[in-house]
Amino acid sequence: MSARTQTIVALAIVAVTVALLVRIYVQKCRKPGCGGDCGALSPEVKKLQARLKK
Amino acid sequence: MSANTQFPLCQLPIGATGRVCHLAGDDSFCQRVREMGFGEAALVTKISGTTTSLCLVNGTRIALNHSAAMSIVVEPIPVLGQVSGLREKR
Amino acid sequence: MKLPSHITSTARRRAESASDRTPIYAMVGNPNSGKTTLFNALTGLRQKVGNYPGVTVEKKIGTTWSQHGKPIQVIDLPGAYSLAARSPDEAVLRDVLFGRREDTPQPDRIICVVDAANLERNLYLVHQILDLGRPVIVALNMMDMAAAAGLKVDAAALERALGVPVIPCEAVHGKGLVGLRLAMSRVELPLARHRWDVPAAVAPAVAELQASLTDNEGRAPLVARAEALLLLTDFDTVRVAGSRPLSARTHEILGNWRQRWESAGTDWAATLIRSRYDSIGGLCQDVVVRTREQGPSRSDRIDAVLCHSFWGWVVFGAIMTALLFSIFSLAEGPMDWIESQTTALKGLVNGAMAAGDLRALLTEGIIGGVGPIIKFLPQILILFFFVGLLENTGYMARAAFIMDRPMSKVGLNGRSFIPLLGSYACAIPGIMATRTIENAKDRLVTILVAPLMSCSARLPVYLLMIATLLPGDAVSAGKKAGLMLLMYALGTFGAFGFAWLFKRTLFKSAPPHMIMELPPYQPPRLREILRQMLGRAWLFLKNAGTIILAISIVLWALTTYPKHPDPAATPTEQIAHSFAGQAGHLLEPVIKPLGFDWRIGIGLITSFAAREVFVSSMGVIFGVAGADENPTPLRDALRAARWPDGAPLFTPLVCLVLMIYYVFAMQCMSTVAVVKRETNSWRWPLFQIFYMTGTAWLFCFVVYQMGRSLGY
Repeated sequence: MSARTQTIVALAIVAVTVALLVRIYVQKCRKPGCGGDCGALSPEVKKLQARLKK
Repeated sequence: MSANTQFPLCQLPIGATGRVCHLAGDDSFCQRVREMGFGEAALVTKISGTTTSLCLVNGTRIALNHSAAMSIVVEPIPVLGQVSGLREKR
Repeated sequence: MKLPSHITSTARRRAESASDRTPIYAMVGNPNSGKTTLFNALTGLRQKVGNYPGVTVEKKIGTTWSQHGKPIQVIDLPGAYSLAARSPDEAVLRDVLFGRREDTPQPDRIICVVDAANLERNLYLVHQILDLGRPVIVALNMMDMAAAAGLKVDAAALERALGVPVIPCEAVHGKGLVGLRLAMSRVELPLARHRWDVPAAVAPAVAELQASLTDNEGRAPLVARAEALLLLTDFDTVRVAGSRPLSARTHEILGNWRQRWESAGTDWAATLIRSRYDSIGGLCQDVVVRTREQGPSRSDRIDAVLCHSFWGWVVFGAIMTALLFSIFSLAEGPMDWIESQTTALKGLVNGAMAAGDLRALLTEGIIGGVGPIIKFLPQILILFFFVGLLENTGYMARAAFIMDRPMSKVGLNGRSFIPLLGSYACAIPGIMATRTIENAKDRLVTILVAPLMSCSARLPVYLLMIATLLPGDAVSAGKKAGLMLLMYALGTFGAFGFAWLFKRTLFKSAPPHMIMELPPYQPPRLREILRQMLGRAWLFLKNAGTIILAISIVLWALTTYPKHPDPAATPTEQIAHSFAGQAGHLLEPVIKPLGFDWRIGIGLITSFAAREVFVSSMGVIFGVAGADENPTPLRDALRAARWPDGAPLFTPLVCLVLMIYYVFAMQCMSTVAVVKRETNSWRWPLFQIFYMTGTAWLFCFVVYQMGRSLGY
């Protein structure tokens, strides 16, 4: 892989990562909290809550 | 220690059993204590503690800090009886 | 006064049962009565359980299946001693049962989980719930514990007396679940038959309040009666009625009765509770038989040592020392293995690809950023093994007991120590656990100081700094553990100091009363501990594989671009020229008095996402600066780092100051978000950032400048 191709692929990966980070940040702003890291709400519970809301 | 003496729970010797005579704290505290079955006439045995007390009430271990234990006035029961799992019939 | 014979109309109940809507059950009971264990057993979920009161502080929803295969929603609610809520977690129970939560449907039926070993006290809440006139099932949990305590509880007699299904069970061992599921599958549940007499003098007050609550607040008749009884038990209307204020008429009636009773000198509120307990006492006499006289139990004997004013402290200190010593001594082998694998992987990629940006991204950005974090997995596992042990055996509540005295010196009580102890693992569950604190000011103080307790995210930072400060095998694990203990102690004393300050300035209030139930000791359930450990390990790896990976990639880009105009520039010159380097240089004047350069500054900024990101940032920055073909461990790269004048950057003093910075600084975005949610305001999280980071800067400044003047 040439140096130029490597730079393009690396920059593409960085761009996708930035987009993902922005998405995570927006989600956090909408639903502030620990993101399930604290054991207070398990992912199963979140799904069920979403279903119940519907 | 006279059977008629009344004193705060914090002064009850370790291992002794007392009967709650009255509660002297604020309303909120008194009601919570009563709701936990620790109200007037309940029997309480002190397990350990000097400033913070550990007591046995109706078979439940309850920890009280010094100010809470100061607000519960008890009279010692001379007979070394065990606290029954059932509340004493009034 | 008797309960009305018809509780809800049969027609309405039939209509409800005939509908296809998924029935909703609420699971309620006293704290530590095993609700969540039963909830997990019924729903197959794995919500956190522990042997101390207040593990559950928020409702949790799950699904179980009836014997006919139909879904049933189950809501697990925080424990409470009474429907007159005294703390935010108890308010959740009250509001869900009364249908006041907009995000939660009002439950159709209620499962009262009762600790059979403490039947009388547990029946108090059941008694209040029966007043609501809703279909109830009583789950008589912990029958094994009752038998061990010499109590024989006759479930059939209790069922006859109450008139509602009573199912004996042992949720921990999965016993009685079939019976409970069968009861939950019943199309119609019988309504309570139990009657109790409200004292004659109180009956008119109940009737008048009930009428007002029905007319002015629009409550259903039975709910109005139950609420009237609560209002008369507890004159604080907010605790009973929640945030929705009562009408002026109801307030007036309540005020009148209160005045009348006060002038008569009779404490009818106490009398009401007593008459309820009398009724329950009568029930228990028919239902509970003591098979043998109860002597001091095993828990009592253990408590005599663990809650002793001297030996209790010795054991507490021994546990903390064992924890920190194990972190250093047991984890070394696995950590070295992970490090060697990371280095090998870096070498593999370097060998397989030609030099270029993609290879640099893979080796320096991804492997260099995530590798140093994954290395700390064994130590995180050890920490959570100890936390699991403390939570499982019942020691958490004892720790709160022995810490009550020092806590009282700063104006709090032992109850605040449970959230603080939980914050050693992570400040977020710690802050949520403050919902069990009754006093609003004490709760806020505990929230404000909880992030000062050294959480598991600080562990990688401390460990990296200790490894840089005390390198090699020549230094004993004891010395490293001692330094780590110092950091934990600094955080803990800091938390106590600020609590003392806040209680004397911003949140002045009388010393709070503490009354807390201590559960019996239980042998640790290793499977449960292992499950919690693996859960935490998974979250740690998930975090490393998502947020930390993403930040490492972005940071690599920020340290790589724009490229230095001179292709022969050294890696340090390249970083200095990059976006990150420019940002770091802007920050340098603020942090230089602490002994930090712009590269450390980049780490401080990125680690605001999560503290452990500091390690990955150092991996990216100093990995970039390191030799491409010969990757070295991060600690060696840090030791080789220099100021422009050639002086070493990471001197022992700087390592120490950096650790101190992380002890105090508010470096966690998630904690800020949770504090905002729990306090319902931006004021307190912003205040927290200001006071914590300000203290960190000031403390570090003093230590660094003093250290420098002493020649370090």
